[in-house]
Amino acid sequence: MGEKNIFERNLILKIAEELENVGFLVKRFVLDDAESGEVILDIVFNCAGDRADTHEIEMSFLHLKEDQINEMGFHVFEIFSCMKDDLPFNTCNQLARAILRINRKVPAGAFGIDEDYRALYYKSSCLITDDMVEEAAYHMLQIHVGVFINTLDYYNDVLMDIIDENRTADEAIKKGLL
Amino acid sequence: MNNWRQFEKSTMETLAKEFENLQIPVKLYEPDEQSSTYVLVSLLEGLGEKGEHDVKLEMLFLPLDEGDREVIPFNFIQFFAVIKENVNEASYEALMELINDMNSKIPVGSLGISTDSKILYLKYCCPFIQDMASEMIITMADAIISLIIQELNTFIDTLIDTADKRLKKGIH
Repeated sequence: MGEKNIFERNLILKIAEELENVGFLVKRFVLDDAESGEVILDIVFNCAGDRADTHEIEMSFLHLKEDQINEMGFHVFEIFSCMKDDLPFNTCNQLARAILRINRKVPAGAFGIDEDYRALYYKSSCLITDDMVEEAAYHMLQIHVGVFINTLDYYNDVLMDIIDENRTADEAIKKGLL
Repeated sequence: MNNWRQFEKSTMETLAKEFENLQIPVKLYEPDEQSSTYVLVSLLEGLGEKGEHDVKLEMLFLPLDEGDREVIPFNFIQFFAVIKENVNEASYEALMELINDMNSKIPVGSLGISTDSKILYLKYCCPFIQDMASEMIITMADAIISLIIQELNTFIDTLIDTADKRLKKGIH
């Protein structure tokens, strides 16, 4: 396992520990790859919005080999949550309109619809340059993870309401929710 | 000038110098009645397969309340690339499908349409911490700019063709 991959692994394990300390349920998956020893986190977020919906959030570094990281000069930390799959066909259009508004405002990442699985997701990524010391890189990731969870929490209800056909995107816009 | 204002000013000045070093046209706008923040505007020239697209890249710290500035030791710089202005609403559906697909693939940032201003954009927001050294600011900015240029080069032709309705959804 190269130095860069060890750097990534240490960071992600620190993030896992911090999330556990604040009450999240965290599962760690270690890829069976002797070279990278890559760790993927699976976090359960069980109080999203006033609805207190449960979402799983996956966190990992983009799978890159040591020489690729050296060439690019940075690492990419990715966070992904599939919020709801098997979306009703007749809500996708309204959802897409809502997502367009939300994505303009959010400071990190973007919501999207996976057309193959008809799934609503939220995805974000953060650049960590190769010359960052662990403390600075960890601080960047803390910020990024915090913003992701807060954004997911903030927009959960309006998106789920649209999926459940409790309101349309236009109604949400008129109410100032988007 | 409090620390935050000084940090925002010095960071933007550092970024402006870096753009000049990279020989990318750039202009720094100071706060005024219209904008309470420093805004850096550069022009990324010759993008796309034939090098025929120029893209305006705007950078600014996201607005924060003064109260928040006192307690939050970081703020996001938004890198906002204006891919196309005055996007015709008739092309929104095809564009949205394309953007949805591309957003699942691009490593950093996200594409979108600002429906109020009819702008097709690529956006990435990066946190900058108040005590960040100039060298680190420059390294971060270099990485972000090179990625933005790479992503725009990859996708801009298809995006503009779709926006101009030269491509229909489902073909890509």
